[in-house]
Amino acid sequence: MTSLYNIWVVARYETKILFRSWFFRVLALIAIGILTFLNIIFFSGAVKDVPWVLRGVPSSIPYFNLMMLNTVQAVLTVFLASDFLKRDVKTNTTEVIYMRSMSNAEYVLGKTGGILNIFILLNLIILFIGAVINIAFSDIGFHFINYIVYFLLISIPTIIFITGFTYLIMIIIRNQPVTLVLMVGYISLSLIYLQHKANYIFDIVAFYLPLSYSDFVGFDQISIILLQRGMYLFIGLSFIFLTILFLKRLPQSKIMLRLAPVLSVIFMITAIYFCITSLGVYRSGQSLRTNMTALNDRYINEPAVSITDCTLDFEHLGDTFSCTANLKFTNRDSVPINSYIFSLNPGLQLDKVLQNQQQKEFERQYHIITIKPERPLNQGESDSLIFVYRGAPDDNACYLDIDEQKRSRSNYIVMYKAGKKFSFITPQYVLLTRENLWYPVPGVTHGSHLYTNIKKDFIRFKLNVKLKSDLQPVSQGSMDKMSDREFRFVPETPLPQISLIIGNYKKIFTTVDSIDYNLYTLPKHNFYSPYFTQIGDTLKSIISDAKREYETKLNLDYPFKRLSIIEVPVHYIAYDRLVSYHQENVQPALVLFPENGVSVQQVDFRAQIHRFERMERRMNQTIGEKEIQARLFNMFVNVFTGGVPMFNPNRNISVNLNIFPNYYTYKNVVYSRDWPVLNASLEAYLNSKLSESTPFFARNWQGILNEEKANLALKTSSLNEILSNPDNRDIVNDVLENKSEMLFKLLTYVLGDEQFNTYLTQYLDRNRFTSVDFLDFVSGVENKLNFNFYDFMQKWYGQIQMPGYYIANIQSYKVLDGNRTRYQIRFDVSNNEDIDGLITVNFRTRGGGVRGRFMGGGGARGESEPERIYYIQKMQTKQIGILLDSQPGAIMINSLVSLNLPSAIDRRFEEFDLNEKAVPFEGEKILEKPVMLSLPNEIIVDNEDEGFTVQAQDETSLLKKIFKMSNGDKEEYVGLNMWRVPNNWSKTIHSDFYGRYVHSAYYVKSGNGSKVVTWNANIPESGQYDVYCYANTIQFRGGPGRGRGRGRERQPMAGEMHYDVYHDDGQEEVTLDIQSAQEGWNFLGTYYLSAGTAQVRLSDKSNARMVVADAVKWVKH
Amino acid sequence: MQISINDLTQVYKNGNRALQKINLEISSGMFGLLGPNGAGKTTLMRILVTLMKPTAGAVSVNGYDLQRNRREIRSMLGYLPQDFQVLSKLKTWEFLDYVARLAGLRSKNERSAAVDEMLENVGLFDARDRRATKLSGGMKRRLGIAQALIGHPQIVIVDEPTTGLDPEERIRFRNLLAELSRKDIVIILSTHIVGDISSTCMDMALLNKGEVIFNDAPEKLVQECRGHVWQINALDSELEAIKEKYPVISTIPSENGWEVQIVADKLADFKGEQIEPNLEHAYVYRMEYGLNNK
Repeated sequence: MTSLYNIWVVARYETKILFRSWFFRVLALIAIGILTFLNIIFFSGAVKDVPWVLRGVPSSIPYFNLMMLNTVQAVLTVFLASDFLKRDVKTNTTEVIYMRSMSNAEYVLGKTGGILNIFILLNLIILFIGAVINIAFSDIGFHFINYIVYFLLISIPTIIFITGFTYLIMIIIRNQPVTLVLMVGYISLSLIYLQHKANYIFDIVAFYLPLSYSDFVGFDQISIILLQRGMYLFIGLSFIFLTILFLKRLPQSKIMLRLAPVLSVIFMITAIYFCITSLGVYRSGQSLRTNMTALNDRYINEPAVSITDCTLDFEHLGDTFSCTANLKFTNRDSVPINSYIFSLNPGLQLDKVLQNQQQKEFERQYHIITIKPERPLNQGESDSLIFVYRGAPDDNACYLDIDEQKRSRSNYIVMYKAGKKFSFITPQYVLLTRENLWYPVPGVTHGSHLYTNIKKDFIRFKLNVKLKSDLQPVSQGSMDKMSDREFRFVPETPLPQISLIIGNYKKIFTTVDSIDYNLYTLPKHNFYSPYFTQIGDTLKSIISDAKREYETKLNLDYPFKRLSIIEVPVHYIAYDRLVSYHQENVQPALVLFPENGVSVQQVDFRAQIHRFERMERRMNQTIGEKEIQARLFNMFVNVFTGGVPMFNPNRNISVNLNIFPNYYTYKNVVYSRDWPVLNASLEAYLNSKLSESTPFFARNWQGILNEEKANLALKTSSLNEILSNPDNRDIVNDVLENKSEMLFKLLTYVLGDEQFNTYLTQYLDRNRFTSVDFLDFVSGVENKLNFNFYDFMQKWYGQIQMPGYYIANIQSYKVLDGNRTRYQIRFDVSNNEDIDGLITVNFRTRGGGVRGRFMGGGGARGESEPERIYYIQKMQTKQIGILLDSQPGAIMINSLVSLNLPSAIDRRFEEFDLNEKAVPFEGEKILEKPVMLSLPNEIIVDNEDEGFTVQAQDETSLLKKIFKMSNGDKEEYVGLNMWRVPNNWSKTIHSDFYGRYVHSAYYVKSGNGSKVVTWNANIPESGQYDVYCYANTIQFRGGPGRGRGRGRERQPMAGEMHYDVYHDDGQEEVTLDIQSAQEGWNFLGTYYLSAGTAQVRLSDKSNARMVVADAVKWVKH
Repeated sequence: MQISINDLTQVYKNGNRALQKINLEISSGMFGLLGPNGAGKTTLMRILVTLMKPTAGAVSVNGYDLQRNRREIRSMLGYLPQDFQVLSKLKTWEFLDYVARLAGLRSKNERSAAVDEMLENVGLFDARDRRATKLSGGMKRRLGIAQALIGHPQIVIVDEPTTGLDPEERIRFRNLLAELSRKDIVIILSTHIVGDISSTCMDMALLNKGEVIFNDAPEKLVQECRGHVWQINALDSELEAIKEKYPVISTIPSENGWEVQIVADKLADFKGEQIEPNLEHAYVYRMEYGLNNK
């Protein structure tokens, strides 16, 4: 039999030997040193700028330490484990040990124990350091048990697995260096490429496993975590027992000789079982969603009832709940309803359906419940049903509209990986929203189309909650406490959905302007209160001002009596929906706030204070603590009233807490049978009033902006076609935003800005908490429209054609208007397509910003001119004149939905010279002659034309191909990046480039002249031609300039470009000196050209940073 | 204590027949194993200490079969290999302690006393806290002897134990083994130093090319060559001729030339006198004349 004593002896001395190894000591010391340093920086408070998100995740300290350490110790284990077998190959070293009386099992297990011992020691040291910092210096809670749990979950399985696997490899190939390479390569593959694929199956070091801990609910998917870690543990044990069998030492235990392979097989089978179970969970979710989507597609066109009243009797049972839903409904459709169709989460078991206290038969397929009434329900008729059900919602049934690839992405909070939960039902915590289908809803949810016109009723809810323990329930409406553990919620208004949250909450509240503002947090999550000690008396005014400002933008009122901010577990996520502007984070009158405020940058109060203090020192002024606290609170309020940042470095799944849905989505529905996306369209339009402008630098990395990608799609497909194609997932929101903006700007233009907005506000207010038909909405203004609205909408929805504009002759000067000097801006615009169009004009004043969707940003929002809208009919040319009282810094002419690329022209103004002879002009003038970009005797070949060719591109290296493969297909247009100029000719866009509709050019890093582009022009008749090339400030400044002749412009780029002009007498190289070149057309020379093809070439040969190829012009004398 | 070796054969994968049907009976006491390089001594030792499985044949130790009862046999063994290396990261006493634990000395006090006593016996007590890398060659050898002897093994197999030891250490070691041999312990001593065998072994075997060519008491081997050992007083000019004609055991310079000891059946061409043979003479005589006659 195996002697534990012998195992212990071998382990003890192996530990000593390994511990005294310089290799281990050096690496261990380095690991301890680095982690101690990082602990001090991140968690001790010594560095005040460290973001809160790094330590705000509960139990972040042990998680962070072991996550980092495990990667290193995996590699270290390879070295130590392979060294054991390598040493033992040298027989003389261990002969005197090998001939001792101990079984191979005792020896191998002892050696393994030795390896485990030193890593346990290393882990303990690291955890001890973390614990000391946690307890003594950190401002976050200390949970001792999690130090143990993380150690057992993260380190042990990895060490055992790597040890066993290394043994196996060493036995097979008997070469330590090769073993090291293979194992380190395998670990790297798992970390860098395999990551979280297939439900984290390949995540050896638990780097991607969602191991974040929530103080509400603990770990997410603990079963998956245990399965995965158990799998690695048992595989490791299996390999260790296999090593016992194959050890090059004569065995002495017959029992172990038989037992070792049996145990190895048992462990391996167990591991395989864990693996299959884990994968099964992953696949079963996909399978469920596929089936649910198919069912939704089947029933999407079936008429559904409209719920008018819903009473829910909810009882919390621990890991499950039971509920009785009493639904009253009516038929608002014009067709009779032969079958009542409801959706209920498939995780909830429907016990019975009652009507008039009689049981009704029903059919259940996944989430769909079908009940046949005794007779069809005709239009206007009502009925009722009672559903009795219980269980726990299955999260796999949520978010059917989110594709599997997006769904499979982990939930990162900086380097921590949290779970992905859409609902919670545990003995200590409950969170349920409509997305979870925790109560029956009429009709279906999302099908395979990108946009499903999901029925939305405004329902009079009543929610009775019976609790199992002393927890705090939160829901919409006023709360009555019926007994110690029974509560009733009755919303004051009908709502489209109701949520329920139950937890151990502490509530603080205040009332401002008759609205109750509540904050629910865990009692120990008190991270905010030390920062607001002095502004108790000003909180209300800050809230009131923020609300007023927000509602001024929207021109809408907050419709509810209360707004509750509720802290929810860190694992809770809500996806951005397609064709919608709200996340489940924002419920009617509720906002679900991330646990401890992690990933919400504005909540990083300590860092913000530190920034204010630095500002004080820099500006040599004192802000004062009260003022700082007021600013902090303003920033906090801005979380709910500001825009969603373009990207959040702290989290890969965006968190949108803007309360906008409370102003529209949960208050109004304007539906349309013919154009089902119209409600979302109106939502998009209203939301755009709050949107942050797209920063100017976004183009540099994106290539073209999202709205321009949308326009490119609309060039070949109608809105309806785009919505019908699931492949358009990435652009559908932008397409809808473009089209919505177009639609509502048109209405604004026709009716007048103030009139339209007033009408819209009043209409939505009048029809709050009801669904209205869009045609009813339009009927109020149709008589003022000078076009057939229905026809227009049909085209808006189904037509492909877009306007295309030439914009030219932008002039700016001062003009005398009576006694005062004003600023005149005028330009010509032609719509050269067979469809009417709309353009908008915005100005950025000096130092101010611009509201609206597209604008080069920079600078705070100052006072700005109101937006101007101009209607340009098909094949029409107008001259637009604008008079301003203050000097503008820049103009932006936005073509909205058009063939133009970029869709907005952004021009900065230089100094305005006084034109004494000019007559002030405000308005529009129709011109007879269209805007001409070229004269009849000019032949222009742009880089977008067929005559332009690119030669001699470098082959992409294999490594780059691999990267590019993972990044998807190459985009047609790349960003204009001055710091990473591409090695091959690449197309990019900017309004300063030459173009008809598309203002683009090719650019490349300067080289040896091997990369060449050619302009080929068709010369109609022989003669003398002046040849020009188009150059612009991009080339001059080495990038988009920040103004000409002002302040912070870049210095002109030094360098030359070399054009080869081919003519009848041969070829001439013309050098264009960038510093002395003009913006626009630059003369290259006069040449005699015969009829036929003329060529100009440009190579990458230059001493400038880059070479830009735009357009070439031949002008006949 | 009795070790019976029957038809023991070892053929390596490359075809080398290291042992060919070895038959030996080894009883308690010192047993010497003599033979040239490649005779198979180390192979035999490694089979006996269960480090290697023989190709054929059987070995029984006190009735225990070597193949089937390795646990029991290993618990009786102490072994010093020819090329002994210490686990370098351990201190002297730690290494000995490790081996002592594996040898079955579980009681801390008993083990501690045994370790100290053994270190004293091999003259390493003062170096007990030194790491193995800091020991001289001789000290390492002594440590090897200590680990082979600790834990009261019943079978001690030592391969070239006195290599690297100075004369004093060698004498000490012989005395140590001699003391042990009085107990019911089998000590198998494989060595090139004939003096180690002659001074301590009651029984011996001579191995050559995997075969036992002599197995009896050392005196018997000496007896074989009595009358065949000569001492010649040779001149300088005769020395080379003597070397060419006869196996020379020793050459000691003398007043008039050299005192040369040789072994030969008959002495011709040179004048010499017969001398009393020792084991070294006997070994050379057997290897030169015994094998050739065969």
